Amino acid sequence: MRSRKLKRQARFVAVGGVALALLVTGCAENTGGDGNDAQGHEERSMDIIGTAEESVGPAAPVEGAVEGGTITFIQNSDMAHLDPARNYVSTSMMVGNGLIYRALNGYREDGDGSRKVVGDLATDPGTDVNGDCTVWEYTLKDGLKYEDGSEITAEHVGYAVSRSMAKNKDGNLMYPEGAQFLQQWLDPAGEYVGPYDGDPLAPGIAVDGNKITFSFDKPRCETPFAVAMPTTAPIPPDEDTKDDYDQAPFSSGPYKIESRVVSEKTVLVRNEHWDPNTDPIRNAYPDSFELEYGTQPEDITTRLVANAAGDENLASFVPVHADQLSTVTGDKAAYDGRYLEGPRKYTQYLSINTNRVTDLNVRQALNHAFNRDRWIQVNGGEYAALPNTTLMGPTVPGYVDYDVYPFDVEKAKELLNGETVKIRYAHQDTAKQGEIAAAMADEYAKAGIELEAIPVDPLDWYGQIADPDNSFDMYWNGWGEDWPSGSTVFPPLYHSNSIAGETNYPFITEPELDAKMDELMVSPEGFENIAEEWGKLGQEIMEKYAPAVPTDLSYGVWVTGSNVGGHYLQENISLLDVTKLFVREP
Amino acid sequence: MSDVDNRSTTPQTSDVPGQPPVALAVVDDKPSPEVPKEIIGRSPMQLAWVRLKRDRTAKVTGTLIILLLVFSYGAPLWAMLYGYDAYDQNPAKLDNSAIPLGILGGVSSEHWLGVVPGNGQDVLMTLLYGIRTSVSIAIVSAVVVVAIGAVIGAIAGYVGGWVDAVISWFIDVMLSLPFLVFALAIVPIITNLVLGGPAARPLWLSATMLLITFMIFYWMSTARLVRGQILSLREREFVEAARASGAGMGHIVFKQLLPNVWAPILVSFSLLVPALVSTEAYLAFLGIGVGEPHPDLGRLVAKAVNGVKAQQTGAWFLMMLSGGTILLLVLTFNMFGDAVRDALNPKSKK
Repeated sequence: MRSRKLKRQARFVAVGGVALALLVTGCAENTGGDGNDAQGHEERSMDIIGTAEESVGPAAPVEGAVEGGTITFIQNSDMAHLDPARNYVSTSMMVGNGLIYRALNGYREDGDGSRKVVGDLATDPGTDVNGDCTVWEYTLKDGLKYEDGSEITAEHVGYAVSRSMAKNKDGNLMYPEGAQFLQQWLDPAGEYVGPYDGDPLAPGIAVDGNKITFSFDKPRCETPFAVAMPTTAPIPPDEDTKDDYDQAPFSSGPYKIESRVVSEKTVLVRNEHWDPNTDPIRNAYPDSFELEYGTQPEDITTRLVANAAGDENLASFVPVHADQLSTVTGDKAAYDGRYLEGPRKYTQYLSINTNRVTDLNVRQALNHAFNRDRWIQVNGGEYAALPNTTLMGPTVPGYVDYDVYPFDVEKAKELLNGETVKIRYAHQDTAKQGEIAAAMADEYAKAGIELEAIPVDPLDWYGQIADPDNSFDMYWNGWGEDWPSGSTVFPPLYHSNSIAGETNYPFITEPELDAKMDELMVSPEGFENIAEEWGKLGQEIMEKYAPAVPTDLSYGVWVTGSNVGGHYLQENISLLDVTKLFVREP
Repeated sequence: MSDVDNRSTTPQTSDVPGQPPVALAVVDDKPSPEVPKEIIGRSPMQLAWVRLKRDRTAKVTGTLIILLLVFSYGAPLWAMLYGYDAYDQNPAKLDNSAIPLGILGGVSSEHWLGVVPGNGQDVLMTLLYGIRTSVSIAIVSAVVVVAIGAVIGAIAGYVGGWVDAVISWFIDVMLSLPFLVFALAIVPIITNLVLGGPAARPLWLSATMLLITFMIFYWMSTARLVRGQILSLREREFVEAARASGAGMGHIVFKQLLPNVWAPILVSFSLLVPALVSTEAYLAFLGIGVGEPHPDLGRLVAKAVNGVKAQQTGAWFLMMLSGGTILLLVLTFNMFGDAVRDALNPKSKK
């Protein structure tokens, strides 16, 4: 009897002890930190077009870098399109254009915050032959070679651009997913059918030896930026495998594809024929890169944070998951040497469907009643998002800071005449977005705005909100400028032509606004003047039309394994700069 | 001597005791033979009830269930006294990343069990409202499911022949379907069908979707049970008598047979309720149950688990609270269901 009682007592003590231990360790108090630690955004320099000297390789070296070793990227989903004609997603562009192929122009970022568009394959960012931006000439460098040692020629660049304009029998683009700026400028009527069925070169393209010329019917002063998009990456016609090119593009860059199993693993190894002296952008320190797919974002963060033995060469383009942000940023010293944070170029908005919410007062009220601090809190805090009140973000030269509708619940009620308004707020059907919707409903209720939260299948999100007949009043969308100019922010988002192009989410159709944007897009004025005009246009759009509620600017925090060095936040794509990474101990 | 016949009910004159033969006028002070006490016939239900009341487990769990129902259905009243409702958001009690301030996830004199990360709702109120939601959905669904199962099972058992064969085959097929995979697929499809495209999802809609899902996947065990009972009952005389007096199948099944299988049906029901409580919780955990902003236990567990994975302070406490509440509900209802089953079964040892 005694032994049974003792055993029971012992068990009680053991359980009690464990509970007590849990209670003590788990009772840590959350004091909330002091906030405002995240870096703000500085104005971006107008000095962005580089010179011929800056187009000469090699790239600026990274301090402490050594050659050799393998870096492995763990990601959740694979790159949908590596074909340069179809590559328009941040991670694919970083891998494709950073490692596998080179375009006519590229962005030289020396690691000191500077950013210049320079010639990558070309000897300079472009020569404005007639001085009126209608004809641009590019000369290819010498000694450019593909992965099999064959020479890269201007003809191949011409072929690649023409190929990106190829059309199917039904008149639709064969490769519709890529950027189409240059292509639309060359062939505004859209008549060219491509090199497979039509002329080998698109209208406006002329090749002469190692020179390629683009001729436009209107002034296109931003051509140096347009040809920095991946679509000018060269493709020898013999290597054009059409749909298969998406999985295995032919390398003109420092690395080539050794093996690729879609959604599992891709291995990139050195292209021995790449000459670093011709390349002002890429350092190519590691011997190879591996990309592994299929890990969930939370698990990616957990694994990188843990940095277990054997995981020291890991990195990821996926930022630290929102749930773990405060744990990681609360103890930055623990991640010294493998941590990167900074503002990104992606701005977020709550677009208002102007087809349904036709009253400007209501749209203004939606802006005044929007509690930006609460939005940032429920989205994960300052390390996930920075407040933004403008239509053009601070990463674009010419940025103007304005807050046309400051947070003022009383003002919102006044604009609504004290009445209640029902707003159909669509959101992606995930737990987090549901939480955010509930928070917004709570806040907007204070101004008499009743939010009806409508969950939408996340896989179909952009398809649903881009539909002009959608039944929603307000919905989130994000945008990042294609190149540092308002011309890749305002026309896609607010020009009536872009409704068909599925990027004008507010469906705003104002002929006066269209005309203003059309004028700026073909202006022969210098880059700096146009940049400032775009900046001011954003304020005007907000004042006159209020088509959206600007919410925040993305902020990114990345962690890598401890054996990876050279962390830099690339301005162009706002990701970990793959061209500067190296293995500390190969 | 001849033996006394003790089994006969009619009094035997030969063994009437004590009366001396004729002559002596002796005062008779022996009482007359006892009139037997009135025999009170008890129905099986009353017998079961007596047995149930005697069972200690039933008393404890029954009381607990009543308390839970009072607290959870009375939650709006308590909210008035307590000061916070499950729908009130308190973002000021959260830090910059929407994680609760303070210890144990925001435990304080205002919020006795802390606040929920994200929007800061009161945890105690969320638990109470969540219990109400879970129990309501479970009980209503259980009633519907048992009704469907009983009818199908009774028809299969009574009619027999190819109808029984087809229904039994169908039951086997439904039992072999993986519930979770189908639930994850069906709920969004039916929701879309009903709503005809993206639309707001009110509480009644989520509850109805869950009810439909349970209706499709949970009737089988009751059907089999009832079918078995009916098979043994249908050869009894009363069925034959009913058939002989011209009763149709409907009358026999619904008025004669089913009323006699109320005991297994009741047991089936009382064990289904906890099963549905836990299923509703894990469907909500996976994101296809009751949506924001309505309080739900499964969704609360999901938030707590995210917090634990991210090593947020106080998340484990929320996980224990939310998981523990579901555990308490399921355990209580299960044990009560066991006690009901024991009370209805006269052959069980007690």
